[in-house]
Amino acid sequence: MNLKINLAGIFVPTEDSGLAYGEELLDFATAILGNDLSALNSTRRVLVESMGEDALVSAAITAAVFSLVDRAANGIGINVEPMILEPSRDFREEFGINQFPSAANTLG
Amino acid sequence: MSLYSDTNLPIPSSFESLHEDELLSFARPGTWGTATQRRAIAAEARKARVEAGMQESVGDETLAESADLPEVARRLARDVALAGIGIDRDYCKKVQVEGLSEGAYVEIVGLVARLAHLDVFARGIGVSSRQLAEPQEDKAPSMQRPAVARQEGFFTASIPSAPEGGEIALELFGSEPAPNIVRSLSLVPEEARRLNTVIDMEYFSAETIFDLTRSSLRALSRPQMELVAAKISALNQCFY
Repeated sequence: MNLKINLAGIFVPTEDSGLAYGEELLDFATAILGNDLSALNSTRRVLVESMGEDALVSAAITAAVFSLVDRAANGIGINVEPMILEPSRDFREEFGINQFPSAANTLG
Repeated sequence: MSLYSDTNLPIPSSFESLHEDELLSFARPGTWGTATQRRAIAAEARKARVEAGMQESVGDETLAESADLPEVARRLARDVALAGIGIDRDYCKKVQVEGLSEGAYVEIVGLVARLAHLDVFARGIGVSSRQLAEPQEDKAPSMQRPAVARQEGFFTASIPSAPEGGEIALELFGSEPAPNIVRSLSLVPEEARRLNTVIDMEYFSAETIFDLTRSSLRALSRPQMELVAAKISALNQCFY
């Protein structure tokens, strides 16, 4: 199993995540939070055709859980634990994550 | 009739039961808000998301006006509904200066975040958001703040991990040090309990999260799950 993700795929549309069906999953994740219902319907259809209905449900559940987690984290202002902060230093800098407003809760 | 009986998609019954219980919780008394107030907060959150084009209307946004709520509570509900991107320590302080208690702040953040969980899932699988239930005022809000809660560096107080957090920490988090997300809503233990149940059932428990070869969902590998999760968090500008 490929456990390695090319994180650039999340932030740069032309980059490949390196995962099977990564593009389909990223397109669906983008559309589920977007305001274009036809795009969401289209990405949902593509995901089902390529990965099946179970995958659609799993992707939707994952998007839903993180919609909850992100709001709790942003609303309460929790900071990132040191054991997670250090290994993420390079890509946080590279992809502008340190510029998110909520970064101040950890970086000060 | 089950909650998602209008779709033939293979939704695990455990998720369906959890979502049904979650939906009802928005119209039940909380620790700080009455059932009618909580349903109005949920409706206010939906109204904000519908107006932003982030979800489709099911008509119950009008219930936002069904309770007499302070404007500051409505504003918080709207801001969290849109992902809470601009919320910072000053925002949280200002909200409290305007009259919202710290406990009510946490309850509204938790309630609106949990509603987004249901509404994003519904939109993802292509069904309408589930209608909010009728309020059931079967008890008064206790307005009780956990005695062990303290400032731990978040915007609001929280319950420390055991042993400092005592019996309630053991009940909510177990005996090991708990990650910050698990403790985030703990000033309102019922909100923390619900958040943690969703994470445990639909993502990973503390025991399984570091096993990268394991996936809690049937059809996605762990890296595929994390790819979706990371994209969602990037769109929500969530540093955590």
